[in-house]
Amino acid sequence: MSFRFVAFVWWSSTTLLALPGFGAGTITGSVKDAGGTTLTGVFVSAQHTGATFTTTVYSDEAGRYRFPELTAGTYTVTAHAGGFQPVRRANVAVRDAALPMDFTLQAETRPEELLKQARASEWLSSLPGTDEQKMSLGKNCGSCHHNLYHLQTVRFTKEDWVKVISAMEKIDVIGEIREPRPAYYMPWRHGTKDQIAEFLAKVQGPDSPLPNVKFFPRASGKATQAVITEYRVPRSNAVPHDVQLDSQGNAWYNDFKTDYLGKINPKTGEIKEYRLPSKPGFHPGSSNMFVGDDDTIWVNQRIAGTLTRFDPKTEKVVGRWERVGGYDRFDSKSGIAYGTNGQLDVKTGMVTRYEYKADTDGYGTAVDSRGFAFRGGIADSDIKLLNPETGDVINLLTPTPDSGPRRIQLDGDAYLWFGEWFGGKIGRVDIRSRKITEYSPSVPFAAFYEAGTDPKNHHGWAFDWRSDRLMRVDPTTGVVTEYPMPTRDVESRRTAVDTSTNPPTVWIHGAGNGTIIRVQAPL
Amino acid sequence: MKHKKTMALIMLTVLLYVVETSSPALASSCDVEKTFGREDKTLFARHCGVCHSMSGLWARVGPPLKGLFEKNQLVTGKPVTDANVRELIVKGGPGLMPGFQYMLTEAQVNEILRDIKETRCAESPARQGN
Repeated sequence: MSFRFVAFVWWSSTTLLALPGFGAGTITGSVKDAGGTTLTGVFVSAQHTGATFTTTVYSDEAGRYRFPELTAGTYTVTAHAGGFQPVRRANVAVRDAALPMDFTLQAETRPEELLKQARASEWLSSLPGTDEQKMSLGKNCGSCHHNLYHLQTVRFTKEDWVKVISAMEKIDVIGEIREPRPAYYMPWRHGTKDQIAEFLAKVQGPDSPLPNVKFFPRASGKATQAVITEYRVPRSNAVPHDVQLDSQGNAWYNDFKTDYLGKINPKTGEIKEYRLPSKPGFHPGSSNMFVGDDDTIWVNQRIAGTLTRFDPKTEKVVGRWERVGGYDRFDSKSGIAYGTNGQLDVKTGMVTRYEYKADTDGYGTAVDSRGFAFRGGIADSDIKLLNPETGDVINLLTPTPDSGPRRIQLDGDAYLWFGEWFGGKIGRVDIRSRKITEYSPSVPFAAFYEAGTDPKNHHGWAFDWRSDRLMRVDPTTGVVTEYPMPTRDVESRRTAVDTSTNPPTVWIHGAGNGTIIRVQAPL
Repeated sequence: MKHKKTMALIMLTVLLYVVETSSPALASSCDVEKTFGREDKTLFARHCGVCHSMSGLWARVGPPLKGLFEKNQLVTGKPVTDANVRELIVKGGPGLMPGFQYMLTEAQVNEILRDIKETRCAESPARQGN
C-alpha cells in the first residue's frame, strides 16, 4: 500500500466527514420541568469529544430544541438553566440521523448552587437593600470586578471592607498600581466609600446569609432560534481582550494579560496561537486590536506602549512601533494607519499628531472612511465628533446623565453605536442629524462596554456584562432581542459582525471565561 | 549507523523524561507571578497577591513578602513568628491589611504561612516603569 494511497484515504475521510451533510446527524427533543411543564429558553449544549468548541441551542416556546448538523461522533450533551439542576448525558453517539433526547429538569434548591448559577445582575437583584445600594456595587466595584463574582466569595467586617476598598482605589483592573484613578471612575457613584463598605458588610459580612436568588426570564421568541458556539482558548491563563474578523471570516483575538494572539477558523474549529514580542520589564498584555484592510492584525500592548502589526500570511510580525499612540484603521494603499489623535506612516514610522480646539478625552475610538474621528466620552457622558482638519470638537450629550459611553463602532459613515457603561443602555448616533437614541434592555443593572454594528442590516449589537446577555437592537422598530450566554462570566469588550453569512454571524469574546463565542441568530 | 541513531533517540527520550519529571509539580508564587499570577493557583495568589507580590518585582499596595521571616519585626512591631504572622492574616493589621478570619480556615492560613516561609525568589532586575 503506497504512502500516497494512505494519505488520500486519510484526507478523504477527514475532509468529507467534516463537510455538512456528510457523516453528520443531529440531536432533538424536549425540555420539561419535574411537573411536566415545557420549558422555554433552556440551554442545551453539545460538545464533541476532543473538539475545541461547544455548540448550544435554546429550547423554543414549545419546549423543543434541535441542534444544527453535528459531525458524527461521540458527544456530551447538557441541558441547563438558572434555577434547575443541570442534566448531563455523556457518550452520546451521533450518526447520520436525528437522535431523540428529552430532558426533565429538577428544581435546584441548594442556595450555594443557585448562587453559582446566578449572573451578576441576578445576584444584585436578589440582595436585600435599595437599588441605590446595589448600583453602588455595580458602578464602583464592578468597574474592575466586572461580574462581581469575587465579591460573592469574600467576607469582611465593615472596618475591613473600608480597608479593602481603600486598597482597591489604588489598583487598576489588571492588578497594576494606578494612581490617580482615571477620572471616569471618580467620584464614587450612588454612595460614599463608607456607605459602600456598610452595604458590603451587610451582604458579605461575617454572618450574612446567602441570598434567595431570583433568576431573570430566559430567552424567548425568536431569540430561541439562535445557535451559539463557544470556542475554548487552549490556555488556562487566557483573557481574550478583543475579537475581530478578517476578510476570510477567521476570528482573531488578543489577550489582556499575556502576549498571545490567536486565530479561530470557524470552518474547521482549528485554533492557532502566536506569541507577540514582549518588552522586558513591562506587562505583556494587549488591549485594542483591529484588522487592516489588507488583513494584517494590529495590536496595542497598552502598558508597554507598543503597537505591533502581524501578517497572517507569513505568520510574522511585520511592524512594531514604540509610543506612537492608538489606531483604529489601516489603509494599505496609502500605507497610513488612522487614529483619533493622529496618523502613522508605516513606511517611515512618522506620526502626524492632530491638534484640536477642545478637550477630546474619552475611552472608545473610531475613525470613518473620511478620516473623521469619534470618541466615547465615558467621563463626560457624550460622544465627541472630531474634525482633524479644522480641529473642531462637537460634544453630543447622551439623554441619560452619567451614562458613560465607552467603546464605539461605526456603521459606515452614517451611524455610530455605543455602549453605556454606567447608564446601562445601548446608544446610536445619527451622525448627520447628530441625534442620539438610547435603547434599554429588559434586565436591571446592565453595563455595556461597547456596541458593535451589523452594517448590512443596520442593527446594533451589544453585550451586557452583568447579565451575560448579547443584545440586538433593530433601530427601525426599537426592539431589543436578548440572547443569554450559556456560560457565565463572559465580559466581552468587542462585538464583531460578519455580514458575509446569512444570517450575519456575531462574534464576542469571554475575557472572564476564556472563550471566543460565535452567535448565529436569524433576523 | 542506524543502530547509533536509534540509541541516540532512546537516550534523548530518557533525558527528556527525566527533565520533565524533575520539574516541580506546582510552581511557587514567586515563579508564577512573573506571568502575572494567571496560572498561580495558590492561596497566596488568590487572597494575598492582589496587594502583595512575593518577589517585589511588581509594584503592589503592600510590601513584598519574600524574606519576611528573616526580618526583625512585623508592621505591628511584633517579632516575626508563626503566631504573629498568623494573627496578622487572621485579624488584620495597621494600614490597609484586612483580617481574613471570616473567609480562611486554619488550614488555609497555615498553607499561606508555609508559602511565605518556604518560597525563595531569585534576584530579578528592577522593573522598568509601569
